[in-house]
This record gives sequence, structure tokens and C-alpha cells, in this order.
Amino acid sequence: MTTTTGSRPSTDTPSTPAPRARKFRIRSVGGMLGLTVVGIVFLLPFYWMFSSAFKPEGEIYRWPLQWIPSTIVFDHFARAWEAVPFAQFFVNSLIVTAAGSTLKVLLAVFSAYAFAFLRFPGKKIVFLAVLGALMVPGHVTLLINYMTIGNLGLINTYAGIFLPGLASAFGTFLLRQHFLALPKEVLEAAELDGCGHVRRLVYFVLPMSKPAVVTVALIAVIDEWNDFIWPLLVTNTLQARTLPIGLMFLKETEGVDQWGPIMAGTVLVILPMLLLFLFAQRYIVAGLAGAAVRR
Amino acid sequence: MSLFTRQSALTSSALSRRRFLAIAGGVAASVPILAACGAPGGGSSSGGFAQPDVAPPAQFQGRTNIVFWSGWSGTNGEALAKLINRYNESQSDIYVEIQQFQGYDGLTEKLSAGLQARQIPDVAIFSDVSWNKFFLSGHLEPLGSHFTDTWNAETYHDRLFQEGVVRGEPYWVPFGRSTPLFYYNKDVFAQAGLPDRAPETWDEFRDWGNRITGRDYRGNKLMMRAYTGSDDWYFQGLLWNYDGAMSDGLDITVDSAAAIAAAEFDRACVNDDKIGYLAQEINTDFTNGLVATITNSTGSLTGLTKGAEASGFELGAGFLPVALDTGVPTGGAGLGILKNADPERKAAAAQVIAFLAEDQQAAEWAVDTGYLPATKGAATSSIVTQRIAENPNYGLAIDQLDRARQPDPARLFVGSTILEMRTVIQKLYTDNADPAAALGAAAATMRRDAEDIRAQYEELVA
Repeated sequence: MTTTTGSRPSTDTPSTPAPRARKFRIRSVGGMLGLTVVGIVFLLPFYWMFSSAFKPEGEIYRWPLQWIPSTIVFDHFARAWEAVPFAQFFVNSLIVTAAGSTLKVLLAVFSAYAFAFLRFPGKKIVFLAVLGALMVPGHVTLLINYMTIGNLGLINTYAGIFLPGLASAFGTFLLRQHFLALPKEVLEAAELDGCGHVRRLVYFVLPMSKPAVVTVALIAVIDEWNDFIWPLLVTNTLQARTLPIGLMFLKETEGVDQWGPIMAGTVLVILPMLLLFLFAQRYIVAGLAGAAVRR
Repeated sequence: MSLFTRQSALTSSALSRRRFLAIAGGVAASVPILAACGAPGGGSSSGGFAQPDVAPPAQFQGRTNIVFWSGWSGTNGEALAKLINRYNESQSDIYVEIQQFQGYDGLTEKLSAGLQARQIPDVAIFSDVSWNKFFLSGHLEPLGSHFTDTWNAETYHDRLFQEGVVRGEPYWVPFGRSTPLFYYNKDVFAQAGLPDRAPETWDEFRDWGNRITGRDYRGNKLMMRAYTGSDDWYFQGLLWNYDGAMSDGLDITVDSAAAIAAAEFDRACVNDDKIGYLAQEINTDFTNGLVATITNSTGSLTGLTKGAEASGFELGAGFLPVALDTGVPTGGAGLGILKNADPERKAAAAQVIAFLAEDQQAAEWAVDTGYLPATKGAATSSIVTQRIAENPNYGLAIDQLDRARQPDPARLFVGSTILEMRTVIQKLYTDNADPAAALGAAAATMRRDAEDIRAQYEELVA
């Protein structure tokens, strides 16, 4: 991204600085407009969700649309909370997400380090296999994973929920690309000074790759938190289920959905992730752009 | 899509879900073969099949634990929980725990996976088109030997009960059965000068549709009907109305001239006359006054009545239109016991089903959910008759049962049928596909899959 915008002025036909500045400004107004449109497209559903969660029931379905609630009601939250044991689900989500994403990142960091810096036989083939794993849709492995977890006796346990997702092909790939772009001289110097692999990883590679690691960690957390199909399949009881499954309890199997409580439940489920993402999104951009551009 | 390998959000895409269902269906059918390969079971009980975890509350400790897998959420889920709670409190030997999954399809997936991992519930809900597959692979317990003097074939509505009987042996008893009704917006019909009733024939429906479509209603241009692409039971009914069928036994007839005529009718309504469209959510569009009519399960009558009231119009309901022949599908669910569950727990599970069939419970279930009263006692109970007196629409579904038919064998036993039919109707609505070509492609797949199960079918059903 930076390279294209940086190179464009130099290939432009030569002109005086003043019109160029004006041209740039016009372009940026157009850009602002574009950004605003895109922003609205993304934010509108969020606004609708939040406002519906606090609107009186009738205003959710009213036509023409009632954009601003006439009064703020908390009734939907009370109903959602009553229908679903969200407190228990919240604890479960917290445990599964914490354990799952920590292990996932750890595994990704170690395997990426191996792929980037170690020499071992069959490295290319193994890496190709990892890339291949990126192409496999999750649903294909669902049943196989269920049988494996079943045979391990882990159905309806926290471990059963996060174990199959631990090996992250995407995380490994992203971190390996990032590691390869690091200056070799630093690592060589460290090696000459007698640093082993662990020390090189912890004191040199990781500090230099902070955006990439944070990106992988964040995506892992959000992924683990939002995951629905697998936790639903692998758990049976209320004691083991996670937040997104709570939303299923609010949906009608037959008939007309009560969107108020569903929206209130959705707000409860995504709020932590929304906050986390808002605080950490700059790392994600830096991490993804870093891995893509530098190679 | 998730950046990681697993699907992450609630929005499971239709395609991958469909693919998974196909795999799961295949697995369900092939379980007896695979079971011989000795998947290690963590189980304590019969044949290596274990019961899933149960966590009884303190006051129910020390009883026989029964696991009940359900696909009902929302209102229906609460109604079931109320009845099961009552059962747990009514006696001191058995504790029933409901474990909930996502709809009938989600439950079928879970059960298929559970059979593979050899961890199964004792009693489960099976939809009208899923129990057959589990029966065919030998996973359903014959219920005849569990029947008692007070709970038996006589308890249930005859026609509904017969749907769960194969060669004289019941495997599946009705609980939460439904049939589709035709719903219309009385306001719109009155404004268009139409009589206050559902159209009697599909031709009349089309005629009325052309008169209604394009009218202004509350600032919107009206359409006649919102179609759903995710359910094929209306299409099953339409086929019968045109003297067609999905199959005769296991011989696929869905590409016959009669079936093509039925499909052509739907295609022409949506794409030539443009009186209908494929909707994301038919109930929402209907209650918001965007369309004049929908067809939907009797189970949604309560929700639609409330929705229409909130939206400020009166809800009308009637029988589904007919053409050359009558015939409406039935749907919904029933209860079955898993054959490989522990014998003692199977006996306990039968007691639970018997409890749910008692007049009081069966009647409450019908009134709370809007499903058909499935037992004779429920149909004549005071709360059901009172409900019908208050709102005659509730009686319609019961009256319409005289026109009901059991789904064609292909729809019951051939795993790919429902997916293929959904694909066909989606193609008809959105791609304006040639009915003969779309049905021909579906028929080819169904024929191949029908051969896979023909031996089992001949041995156990035909």
C-alpha cells in the first residue's frame, strides 16, 4: 500500500507544485467521501444492533425505520439474561478463549521459528503441507475431529473445544513470513555472542515482530471467542457451552423471532471483542501489512 | 470466513452446511458398516455406546439419568423445558436432562457424529424426514414392546401415528407435528376487492397474485408471496397437487411431466408474472406488510398472529391451494428411543415419552407451541378446544389433516433428496432455471443415491 501511493507522484506528468497540491486535496475529498460511504456500510449494522437492543419492541419492526429509540429500555437484556445462562457461558468463553488462544499463539510462534530459521530435512514439504491446511474448509474436518475428541474422552470439556483448533496454519504462515524479513545480521550477532535458539527467539525475534504476534494473537482470540459450530457440536450440557451458543437459545425454531432479546444477547456476546479490537486494531493493520509488503 | 481453518461465526454458509449435511447423512447411513471397524468407545454400557455427560441438580441426584436431545430453542424450547421439569418433579426415580442443538438439521448432525464417537442420548427428537434414515441404519428402538395399557397406538392421532410405523412396528411417535397453512393479510385482500379467504386453487392464487402485486400498501409496492428456499415441503405438496411425486417407492419420478408442470408453475409465478420472490425471512416480510401472503408451518401461527397484531393488520389463514389433486405435507418432529442405549434407560425413556403423551402435557404442548395436538386426548382437551373457539385459525391445521399425506419414500430415505429439492427450488426462483433441466439433474443424483440404500430399503421397509 505505501509503495503504490509513494511511487505515484513520481510517475505523474511533471507539473507545478500548486495544482498538484490542489489535485491532491480534491482527490482526498473524494477519498473522504468514499471512506465515509464504506464506513457507513460497516457501521450501520452495528448501530442497528445496538439501537435495537435498547428500543421498545414495536420500534424494531416499525416502517419507515425508527432510527433513534424514543426511549431507552433494558427489558430485552433482562429477557435474554433470563432465557440463557449467560453468566456461566461467559466464564466458559473466557476459559476456552484464554487457554485456546495462548496455546495457539505459542504453537504458531515455535513452528514459525522452526520454518524460518532451522534447517531440517523435508522442511519445504512440511511447509507446503501447512499451507495446504489453509485451504481445507473447517466443515470437512468437523466429523473427523469429533471422532478423535470422542475417542480421547474429551467431549463436553473445555479441552475438547479448543484442542482441534490449536494448530494454526494461518498464524504459522504469517509469523514465518515476518520472521524471514527480519535483519539476519542481528540474529547472526546474537548467535556469535552465544545465544541459543530460545534466547534468540525471546530476546530478538519476538520483540522485533511485535505487530505480527499481536495480530496473530488477536485473531486467535476473536476466532476462539466467536466460534460457534464446533463448540456446539462438541458440547452437550449448559455447564460447558460458550457465549455464541447462547444466541442459538434465543432464536425461534419455528415462527417469528423476537429480535429484541436476540440483539441484546448479541451485544453481550460481541462487546468484549469489539472493545478488544478497537484497542488493538492498529497492530493488526501493521502486522498484516508488514508480512505482506516486506517480502 | 475465518482466517483460521475453522469456520468462526454464527453465519454458517449455506454451501458448507449443505456439504456437511451431505457428509453427515452419508455417515448416518453407513454407520452399521463402520461400526464393525471397532471405533474405541469410552462407554460403560451396551455395545460400547456411552451416555453423554449429565449434571443433575442436587435435588435430583441418585436417579436414573436420561439424556434427551432436542433441537428446539426459543418459545418451543421453553415449552419443552417446562414439561420436562414437571416430569422430574413428579416422580423420584428418573432425571431427564435436555441437551439442545441447533434445529432439526443441527440435531441430525450431532446425532450422526455421536453415533460415530459412540456417545448417544437415550431419547431424541427426530424430524419427519430424519428418523427414517436412523431407522434404516438400525439405530431406532421398536416401541411396541414398551407400550402400556395407557400409552399405546390408541393414544395418538391415527394418521400421525401411522407415519412412524414400519411393517406394523412403531419407531417414532408424533410430538410437535405440523402442517403448512396459507396465511394472508386481510387488509390487503379487502383493499384489492378479493374475498376474505385463501385461494382455493393455485390458478386462483396466481390470478389474485397478479391483481395484488404492484398495489401500494403503506408506502410499499406489494408482492403476492414471499418464497423460502430453505424448505422443500411446499414443493412436495405442489408436486402432489399436479399429480406428481418425488418417487414411487425408490423409483425416482421427480423428472416426470407432472413434476415438471408443478415446477414450471412456481417458476412462472416468480419469474414471468413476478408476483413472488425468494425472501431472506418470509415471516418478517409478511408481518411488515411487504407481501400479501406466505405459506408457513402451523407452528408459526402464534408468532404470526402476534406479529400481524403489532403491525396493525388482521391475519387470515386457510388451507393450502390445490390443483389437479389435493394433498398437503406434514412436517415437524416426533420422539424416538436410541436402540443402542442401555436397556434400563430405554425403559425409563419410554416412561418419559408416555408422560409427554398424557392429555395434560400433550394439550399444553400443542397450545404453547402451535403444533398439532398429536394425541386424541389433547385434541378434545378443554384448553385446545377453547383455543380453537377463541381463534378458529388454530382448528384449520387439524381439519386440513384429512388432506395430509406421508412424504414420498425418496424424501424419507434417500439422503440427498432434500438438498437436491432445495437446490431445484432455489434455481427456479433465482436463476429462472428450466424446470426440466433442474429436475433432471436432481433426479440423476437421487437415482444414484437411491440405489445405495435399495437393498436395506427392500429388506426393512418395502
